[in-house]
Amino acid sequence: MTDGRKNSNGRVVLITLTVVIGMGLLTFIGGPWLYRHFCAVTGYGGTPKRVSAEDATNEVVNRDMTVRFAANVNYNMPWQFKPEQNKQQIKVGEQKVAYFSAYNPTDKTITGRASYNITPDKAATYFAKIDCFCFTLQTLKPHERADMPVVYYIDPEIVKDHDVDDVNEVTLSYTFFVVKDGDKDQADAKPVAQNIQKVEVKK
Amino acid sequence: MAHANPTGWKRWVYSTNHKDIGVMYLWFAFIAGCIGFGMSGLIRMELMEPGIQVLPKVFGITEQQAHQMFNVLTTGHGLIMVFFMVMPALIGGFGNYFVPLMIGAPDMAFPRMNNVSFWLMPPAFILLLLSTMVEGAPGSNGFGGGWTAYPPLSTIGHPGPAMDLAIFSLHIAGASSIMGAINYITTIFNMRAPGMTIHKMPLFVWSILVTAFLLVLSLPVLAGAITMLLTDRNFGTTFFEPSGGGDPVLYQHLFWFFGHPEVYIMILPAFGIISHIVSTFSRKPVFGYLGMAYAMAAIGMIGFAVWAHHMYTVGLDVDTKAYFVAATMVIAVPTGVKIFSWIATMWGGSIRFTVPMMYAIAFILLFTVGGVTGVVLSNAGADIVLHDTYYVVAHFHYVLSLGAVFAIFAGLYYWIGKMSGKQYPETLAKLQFWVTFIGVNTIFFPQHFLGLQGMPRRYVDYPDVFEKWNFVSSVGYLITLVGFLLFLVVMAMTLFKKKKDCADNPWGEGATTLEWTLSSPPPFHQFNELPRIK
Repeated sequence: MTDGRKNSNGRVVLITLTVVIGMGLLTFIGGPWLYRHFCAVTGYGGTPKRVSAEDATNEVVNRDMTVRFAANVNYNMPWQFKPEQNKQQIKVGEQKVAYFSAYNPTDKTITGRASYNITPDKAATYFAKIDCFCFTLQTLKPHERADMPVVYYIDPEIVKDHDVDDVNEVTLSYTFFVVKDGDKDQADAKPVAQNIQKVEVKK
Repeated sequence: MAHANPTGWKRWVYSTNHKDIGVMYLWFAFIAGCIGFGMSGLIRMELMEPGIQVLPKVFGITEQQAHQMFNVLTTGHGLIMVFFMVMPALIGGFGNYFVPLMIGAPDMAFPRMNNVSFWLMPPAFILLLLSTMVEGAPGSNGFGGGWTAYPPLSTIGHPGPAMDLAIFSLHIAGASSIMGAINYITTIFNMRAPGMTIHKMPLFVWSILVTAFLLVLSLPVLAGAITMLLTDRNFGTTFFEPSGGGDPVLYQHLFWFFGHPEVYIMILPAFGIISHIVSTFSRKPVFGYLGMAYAMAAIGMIGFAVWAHHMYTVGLDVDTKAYFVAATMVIAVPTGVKIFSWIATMWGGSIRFTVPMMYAIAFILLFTVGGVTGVVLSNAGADIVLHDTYYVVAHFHYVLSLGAVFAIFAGLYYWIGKMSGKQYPETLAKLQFWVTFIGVNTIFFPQHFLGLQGMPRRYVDYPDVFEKWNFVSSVGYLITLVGFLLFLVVMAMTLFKKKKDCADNPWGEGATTLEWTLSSPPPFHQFNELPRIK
């Protein structure tokens, strides 16, 4: 090596420093962005799929599923939030609307964001949402009560995946968090009344 | 000779000499190790009996506060031992001292950067110690969320400045390690003596080279992850905060993407040291040299693709788990290559059971025990049950506390004559070995049983059923403490000797690397005339 040294010290340092900075950038920019999109696309970690109304399936398969609903609030969120039905019986492929009711018992206007999750995780890929109150921020005025709908179906592809043959019951869970002042998405928040348009269910 | 020979405080504070910096790293690791060892003593004494009795007395706090104090101690113990004891000793200490000697170089490639690397460590360590003295969780001092610092406990769970200080400490220690790693890579690539090709490099140099690459690739990820913690805590970002669309599990992915290579960062230099010792005292070259070198490279590479085996319980799907189980088990293959090559090196050799050799053989045995429990834990199914139990504690202490630390002892006894010019007292050192060996095994072997019985980590108290093995484990600590005091005596007897009595090569035939061609201790500046390797 020394007889014909190709790499100067400076060059080695440059290359290693590039690696260091590259890994750092990858962590900072790539990490959170990649992570969110990876989960949304694959349904990893119980992230349900989001489908537009046009792309939704029309196929209904003769397999019964029970969908259970869970509603939670973060520790600093004062809303009362609960599902209006504990469970729904559906066929795979069939579209259904479920309602959640939220009430703001305080004297302040509060904006919230709902995070969502499917249990068991492995079924999340097949849980498709067409419309959901969780897609946008929700604002409740003092003592306002609102019904919040979600339109969903179970993707018929589920019958081809034998890993989820044992699943005949899934739980859709929401947790409402307070959106802090200055959140960049807060400007998009609308009062619930405007936000929830007419919900149509394809027959 | 134009080279300077500085004396007094300038020799150390302004040091650009790789040997002096190596020695300072070793002393630094020793001081940090004493503090970390003291913390583990408090932990073991508290766990000796059910109930909470020791911590309230020692710190003058209530029983309720002792819960948090216990976790602050385990967190401090973990961080100190990983970042301020094992890494400075193996990489900064032995690496600085012996990499240039072994490749026939006069010094490191960037001696002044080397100085900066070292002198960043004390402030980092002081920040970490300060962090235990300021408020963390409301009403208590220090950060008690474990060395992994998972959010939300490390964000909203500890609003006080303790966590921020710990983050800064890791930033600085990380910067130090990255600079050190760049220095090693450049030194090893560019400063090898004529004739020393990459395939003739001593295995310790190989191990440091692979370690340096792991550091360069993984530490920026840790730095990024803890910076995100910092901004989540102080500047309202929501990387790990679900209310802003973040996810706490992302932190676990980032942390373990660093954390798993980190365990190889701690053990690879140990592999290098053990190879030299086994070869020296078997009077044989290392069996399968190339296999040994590339096994380390393979361990380093696969180490980046197995991180999620630390987080089987977060809800990964079956296929993902299956991948991480298989990938993790694959690491047992190059590791097995190393274990069997050491045994094959000893096979048919004329073995001398000196203290470094005893430590090396004990390393092979105990590391294998830790490796076997590692294969058990790599199974996602078994890990769901064993996650966060004392079985895991026993596993990683077998590979680190009994693996990496035994390698540090082995290297110290192997090289203390070379570094100081004074040879250690053999008989007393043998006694030190046996007491330590019995002590650490008495601490950690019973913890396998506790874990299998379901005792969870990170609690100050436990149900009475776990009393017996906890008692045994704590007695083991007291035996280890005797071993540690003996170690102090052995080192004092060595270093306070009046005469430099160590030959250039005290180990005779078998010690073939270049450091043994120099005087003991080596001259302040060596290899002004580069050695030629045939």
